[in-house]
Amino acid sequence: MLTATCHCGAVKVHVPRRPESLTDCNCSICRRYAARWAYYPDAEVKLVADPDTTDDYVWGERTQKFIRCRHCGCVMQWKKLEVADDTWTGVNARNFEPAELEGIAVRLLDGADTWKYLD
Amino acid sequence: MLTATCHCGAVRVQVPRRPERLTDCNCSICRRYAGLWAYYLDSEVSLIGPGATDEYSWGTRELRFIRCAQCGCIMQWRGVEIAADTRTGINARNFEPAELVGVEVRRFDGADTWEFIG
Repeated sequence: MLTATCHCGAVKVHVPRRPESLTDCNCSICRRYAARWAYYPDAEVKLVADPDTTDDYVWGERTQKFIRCRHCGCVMQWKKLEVADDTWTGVNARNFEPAELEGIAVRLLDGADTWKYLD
Repeated sequence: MLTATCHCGAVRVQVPRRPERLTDCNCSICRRYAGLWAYYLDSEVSLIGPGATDEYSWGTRELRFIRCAQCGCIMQWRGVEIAADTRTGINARNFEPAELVGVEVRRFDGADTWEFIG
């Protein structure tokens, strides 16, 4: 198991294993958050935080929420608002210890335009 | 003049010119925010969006990291105490990418040596 931790420690995200790859996306929100996403089935991921210690950002078609620590502002995870058995989620790998991610390929997703990987 | 805008548009930061370079730092907060910092004199920068921001300070509390309270985009770090020569960092992730084409990115080892490593 790996754990992503925000800077102040109030919010943690547990995932079952190292990601096989990471995704940098250039869409309007991902480029601002500069998040580096590790994808898992939603059911495999556990966000641990006391009540009222996270803020969400939802916009547009309102299909997903971006969850951040209310205190330090670190973006932790995106999660679909409607979750089925096969729904995936993205965990922001910027919050893992860097040593835990050594050797994992980073892929570039053109979310701003073609929605294809650029590598 | 360039303007950095958060995703929801509630907070903007205006700077007087394109940065000469950008800094990518690996310290404990910068690696999580993944900020790409453009430095200016504090007096040259205007943050627009009063009441629309949240802040994070910790440790010796010398810096404030300012973000949009709605969409959470990290906009700027500022010193808590501002003198005439105090500098500030603007998160260039919030500029339009086309405005930054050709600007050099340097990597700063804020996690360890406090030296530039690229």
